[in-house]
Amino acid sequence: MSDIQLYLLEADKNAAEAKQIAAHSASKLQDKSLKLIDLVTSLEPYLNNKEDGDQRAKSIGYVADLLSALPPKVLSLQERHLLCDFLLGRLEGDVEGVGATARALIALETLGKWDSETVQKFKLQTERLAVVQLVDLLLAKHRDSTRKLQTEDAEFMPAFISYWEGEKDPRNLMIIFSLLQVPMTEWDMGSHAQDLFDSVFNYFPITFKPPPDDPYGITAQDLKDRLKACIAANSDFAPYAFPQLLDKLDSTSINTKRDVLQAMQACITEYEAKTINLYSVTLWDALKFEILNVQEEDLAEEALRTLSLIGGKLAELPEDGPLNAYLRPIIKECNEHLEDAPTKQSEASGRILHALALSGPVVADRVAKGVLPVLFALYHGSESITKRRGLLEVFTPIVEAFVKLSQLLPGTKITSLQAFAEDALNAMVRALVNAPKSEVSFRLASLTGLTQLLAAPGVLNDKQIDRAVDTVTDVVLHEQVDGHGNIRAQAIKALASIAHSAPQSIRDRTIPAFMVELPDLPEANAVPSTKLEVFAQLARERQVFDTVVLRLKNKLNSARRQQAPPAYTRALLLSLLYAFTLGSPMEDDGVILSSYYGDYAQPLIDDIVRQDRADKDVAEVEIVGRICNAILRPQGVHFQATVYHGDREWMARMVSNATASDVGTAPFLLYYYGAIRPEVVEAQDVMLLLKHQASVALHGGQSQRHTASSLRLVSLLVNKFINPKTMRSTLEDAGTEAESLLQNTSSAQALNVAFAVIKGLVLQGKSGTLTTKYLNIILDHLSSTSDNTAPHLFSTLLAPDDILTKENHCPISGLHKQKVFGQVIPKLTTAVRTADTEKKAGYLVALSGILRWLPYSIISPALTDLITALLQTLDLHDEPVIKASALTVFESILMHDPQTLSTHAASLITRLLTSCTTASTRSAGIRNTTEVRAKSLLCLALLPRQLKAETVVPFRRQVVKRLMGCLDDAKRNVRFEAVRCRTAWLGLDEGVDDE
Amino acid sequence: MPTTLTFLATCTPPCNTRTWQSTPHPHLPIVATACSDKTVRIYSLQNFQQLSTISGGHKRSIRSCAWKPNSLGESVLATGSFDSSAGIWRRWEGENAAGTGKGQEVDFTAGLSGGNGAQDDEDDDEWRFAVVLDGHDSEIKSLAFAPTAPLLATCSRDKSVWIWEELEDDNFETVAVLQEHEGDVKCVAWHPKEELLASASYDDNIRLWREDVDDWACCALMTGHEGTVWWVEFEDANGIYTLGSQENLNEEQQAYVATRLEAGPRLISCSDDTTIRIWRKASKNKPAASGARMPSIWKNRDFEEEWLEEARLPQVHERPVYNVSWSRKTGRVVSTGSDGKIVVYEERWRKDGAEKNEDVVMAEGTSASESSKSVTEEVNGQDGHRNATEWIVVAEAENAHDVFEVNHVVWAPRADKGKTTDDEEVIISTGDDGEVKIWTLSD
Amino acid sequence: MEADKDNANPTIINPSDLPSRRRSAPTAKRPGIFDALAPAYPSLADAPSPPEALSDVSSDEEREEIDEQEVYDLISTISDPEHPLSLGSLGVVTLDDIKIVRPTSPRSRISTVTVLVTPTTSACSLTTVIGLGVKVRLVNALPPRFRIDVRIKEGTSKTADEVNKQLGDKERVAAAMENRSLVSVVNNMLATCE
Repeated sequence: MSDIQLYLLEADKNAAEAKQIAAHSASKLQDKSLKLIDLVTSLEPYLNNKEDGDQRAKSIGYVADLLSALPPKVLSLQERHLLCDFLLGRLEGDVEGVGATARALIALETLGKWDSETVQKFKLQTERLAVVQLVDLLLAKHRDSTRKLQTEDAEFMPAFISYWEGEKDPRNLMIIFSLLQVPMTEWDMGSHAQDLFDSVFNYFPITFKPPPDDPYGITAQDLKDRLKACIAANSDFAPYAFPQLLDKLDSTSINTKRDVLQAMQACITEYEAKTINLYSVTLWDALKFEILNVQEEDLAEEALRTLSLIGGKLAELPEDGPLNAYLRPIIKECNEHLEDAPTKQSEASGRILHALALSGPVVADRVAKGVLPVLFALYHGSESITKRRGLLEVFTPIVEAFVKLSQLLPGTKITSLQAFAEDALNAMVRALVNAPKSEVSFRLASLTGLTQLLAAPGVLNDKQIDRAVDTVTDVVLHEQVDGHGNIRAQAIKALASIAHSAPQSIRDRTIPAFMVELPDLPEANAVPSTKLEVFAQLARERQVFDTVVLRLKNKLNSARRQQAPPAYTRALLLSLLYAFTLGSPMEDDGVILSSYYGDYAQPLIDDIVRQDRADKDVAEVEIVGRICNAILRPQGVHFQATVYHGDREWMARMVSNATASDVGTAPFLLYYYGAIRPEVVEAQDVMLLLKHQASVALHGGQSQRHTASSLRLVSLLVNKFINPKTMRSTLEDAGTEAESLLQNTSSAQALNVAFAVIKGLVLQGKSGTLTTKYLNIILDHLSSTSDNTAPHLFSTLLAPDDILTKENHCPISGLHKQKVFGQVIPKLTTAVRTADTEKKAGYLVALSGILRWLPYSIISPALTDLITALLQTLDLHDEPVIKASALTVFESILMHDPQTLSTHAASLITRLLTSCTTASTRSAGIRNTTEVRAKSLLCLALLPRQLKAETVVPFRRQVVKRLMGCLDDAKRNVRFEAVRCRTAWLGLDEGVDDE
Repeated sequence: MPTTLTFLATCTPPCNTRTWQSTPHPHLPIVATACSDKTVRIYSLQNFQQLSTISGGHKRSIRSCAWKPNSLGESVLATGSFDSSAGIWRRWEGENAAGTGKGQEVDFTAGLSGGNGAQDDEDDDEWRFAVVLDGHDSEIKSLAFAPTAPLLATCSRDKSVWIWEELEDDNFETVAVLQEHEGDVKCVAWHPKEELLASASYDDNIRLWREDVDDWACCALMTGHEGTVWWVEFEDANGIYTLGSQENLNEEQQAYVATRLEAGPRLISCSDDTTIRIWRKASKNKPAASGARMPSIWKNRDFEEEWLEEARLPQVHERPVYNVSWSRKTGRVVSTGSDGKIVVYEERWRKDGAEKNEDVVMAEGTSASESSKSVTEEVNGQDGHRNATEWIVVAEAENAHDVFEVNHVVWAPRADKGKTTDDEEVIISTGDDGEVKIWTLSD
Repeated sequence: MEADKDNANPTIINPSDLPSRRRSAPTAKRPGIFDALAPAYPSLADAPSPPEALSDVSSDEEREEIDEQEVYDLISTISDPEHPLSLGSLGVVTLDDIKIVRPTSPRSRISTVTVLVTPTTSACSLTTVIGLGVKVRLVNALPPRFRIDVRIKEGTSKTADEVNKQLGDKERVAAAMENRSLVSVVNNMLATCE
């Protein structure tokens, strides 16, 4: 049995024994009783055993053991090459026994250094990846042996480094960068540090673009990240890294700069603090330029981040020295820039200080101590409002940093800021109270400053807080002059955020102040609605919500008691509604507290039911409905059920004998039923209510608004409460079955109800056949009448509706728009093509009534059929809304598939030119509303941008001339569009005059 | 009975960008319009339809165009462009043009302008781009053929005036480059009888040039305008006779006639300073303080001329005046400019003594703008006595081209159906709206 | 490149101090926040020709005249050829230096806009270009019934008279606008106009 066979036997059972065998054959080689070539050939069958990978592996293991047992100088150079090649060959060909092969190669290595020639061989791309993987593996599996290697062999490191010279293949680089981190971090690089560093830094900056069909999916970013890691791997690199990076920072390429800054950040995070200390000031001197003269905003951001990282790093050190050394020049320079604030530089200083302060409490404290004294000295020293503004614009970012810090690490020391709290407060309060109203930016700066100051916990004492709050409140309440800037709007925002940081003071000062301003009984024409708006907005802050709504409720009651003008009670109700819909009421795991219903909604409802008057204020009734909807909607079945059964009695009464007074409640019911979950209501109730509302709508006589809500209620009931199975029968019982509705009459009322029902069905998407049937009925109806009621109703089918929504527990089919499109549009387009002129109008109206609400994605496939129809729509007389929607469609076509229009360019341009003016068309009896004119110009402006030059250039002069007229349009916004449009066309290059 | 300026027609189709200038043909009832769309449009004065378009020769706006005079049998048009070159275009007038004399225009041009459609297209082809005149460094603003010699003058923003001599057909040689202006030269105009060239400039001055020994040089400098001088033009050689019969004139008037006869055709100029001024050559035998005015003393005295501002036309325009035209037939002047007005003025013997002009004005200056006093102010201390004549506004049209500026007005013989008398004239106006409009003046 | 600018470090006006129509509009006109509560969609009971349209037309009748603010808005967004800043924020154009003169006689329909430009420094070599930019913008954006006079504010530029004369010369402006290189400069300035 040959050695190899023996080895294979022993390999598993007894490794030691196996090694012996290998050693034995080694000695044979040594005493030349065995030739290497024979040995290798003897291995042949096992090494290439297709079936048994394990065996192949073991055989390599044998070679490995053998080689390692072999003393140096036994094998000749050629023989070593032979083996080396052979092993490398295996690496590529065979995954089995890579480890063994590796060992083998290392063994080989120890037998004699790989001479340059072999190294050369590594450079042959084919073998490259294999080798790289191998070495990676070596380092992974044999950390110690490899480390030993390089400690023993002085030559190893240079060679090792030189292996990778001139590597290009991104795959290899990825591995090399990662494997190099082993020596970089774990070995003692000693004299080789620089070589090692250079070997990777040569690749900086990475300018690699992956080929479009890159199979390995290596991105430039991957490479950049690994390279960064290398550069940052070891503090010993600092002497090479920073100078070279700083040098590269002067590059003109934005990308290089970006990479440099990111690499720096990596270094600063990774290197030791004491190392950073050596470079901190140098870095500052270089980085500041990126911030003081911003080239690219994001570079400035990176630079700021870097500065802040340095601060944070140095703050880690036990001693103050380094940090101070770093901060001193910065603070000095910033203070200098403060001298001539406001300038780009002073603004930049604000950013710098902000960034630094963010790097930690210690730094923040130093910054405050270093800058604030100077800042306020200058502030008091100057009378110039502009200058003072400039200074505040530096102060605020510093405070901001403190605010952020204390959010991150509560209990951040703020004494240094506190020291100037009074100064700051005085300055800014005075600015707001005394500065001329026209000094908008100054007062705005003060306002933001004040807000920040309040947001920094513990900086201001209660007295100071109250003072600040009073000031802002006063601005909000009493600054009516809106001529100057939007300071009031800002003040309102400020108040909101103050409500968050200082709720108590808002409760104690602001809210009472408002209450004083809000009378119980104002003049009908002097309803303080703007003040109410602001007040309601306070409800956005949870901590003051309850106070706000309570005060509103009380106001409402006393207003009612004293018969305040309805405008006022309505405004108060709206405020409540605003609070409950957009505010932050108390919640019980995510659901608004049900107790609000009893406290707020119920009384209002009782009120409605009680007032037995036909002339209920529709608006009020609706608002109450909405309030109740807001609270009731999210409540669970149980709670809703109790509520519902509470109300059932009076509603039943109403349905049974509809007196005028009850009809007035439709707007309320609409929102009420909107809130109720389907399972809560009984089928019978639904049918009766449906019947009732339908009859109301059919007999008309109601105000438009009433009818509207009745009809919407019909849609709601059909959609949400009627079981698809019993749909048709229920509709019949309720007398709302569309077919029979339209059979004998085509009155507007009948049509309205029919469309209402259909809308409910369409959205529900569960009664497919019935829906299709109905859709066809109304389509046929178009052919039977030239009256334009029906056509216009089409736009209601898909019109969004704030009642029919998922939130209101309505079943909304995700596909309903597609369905309608599929069932209606083809029929309509064909109809448009075939119909005679006076019918055609109707079809066009219906068509764009549908298209109006369809997302472009649905329309685009059918464009070719639609465009002609849409163009004709633009010719319609006295259909501004329809035209507008057609134009909207054109707009999106121009955005998404302009090319489809290129063949129609001529006719489109002519039509747009007519629909964008009032002058020429008035005579023709066409009335172009502001909206139509503006939209037309908008579309017209898109043409030169979206269509091919050769398509539009021929029209350039004509259009440019015609548009002169629009420049003088009566309406400013139209003129604005006209200017944009004309500019776009003037921009078209007619491609002449070459010099 | 009041004189009124009445809109007659707009030439169609209009250009849809700015048009600069329209020049009537010396003997055919057609007009050439220089357009900023790099073309020249030829319109018929009989039916105001476009007959042909000349295009393809210039890379930028065509600013001006001029017809070569006395070129029977073949029309020759020169074009001056912002591309700093001038072009010469030729077109046969067709056999029926042969041996035509004045007066018969209508007959032989009927063929040309009467027909449209198919024939127009041919016309397009018939215009031949004969030669380009390169030399100016920047935009050519104006050009003019001399009536008395084969000379063409061009002027440019490069501050120079060039005089070209046409040795034989299409062979032009530069005979002079005159560079004394200190700003763009806006306009050049030839004396009707002498080889005397006038130029108007951005430097606010007017210069006259003639050949001294064998060298062209500046022989007169007219200062006074307080803004760019946009246009200059000589009156007709017989301008004086438009004042009416020479019978029973008082001495003052006789004296004036004498002065005028000695001085020869006067020059009219209009300017950015909104004034229109008339200049007359000063008589030699009155030695005025002329030496001082001419910088170049080494020139021989009799070469130098002194021109005096004789009169200033009534101030009607409120913005820069771009153009004035002097009727060869009636001696009337029409002006236009940035304010979009077209104003017609007339020269007449000054009514003497106490009875002041005002009432006359009321009578005559019909639609004269209420603001301006519509009679010549008494300029002219320069050559002693006050003028025997005065200028009055006889007609005015506001918003002549809608709200647009009007760049050019010119008199032309009337040729459409409405024509009553042989020497009836129309006014052709050219505007920023790209339109060429025809106006009639009714007395 | 900072160095060779005529004025490398101009003072910049804070955006909120720039005049704007939004600000000068009285509060009353603006819709209250409550209006946002009820979205207005076409309802089934709407009349065939919806009220929105009707009201729109009636409001079409009263005209919003072109005023100084509107002119300002047209030119204040032009960017300075040497700073990435708007002429408005550099104070090169200001609302006070824009004057509109309505037609002088009842028969005339011509209004005149006069804009005084204040260069960032008295030596600003780009004054002409800036003036040209303003002129071109207004010529393109205002209806033709306006005559546009762009001038350099007295005592703010050494070359004022020269520049004024050039900008006043329609022929030169027209020619300039046919000059590729100039046009591209101007276009870059106007690129920031909305």
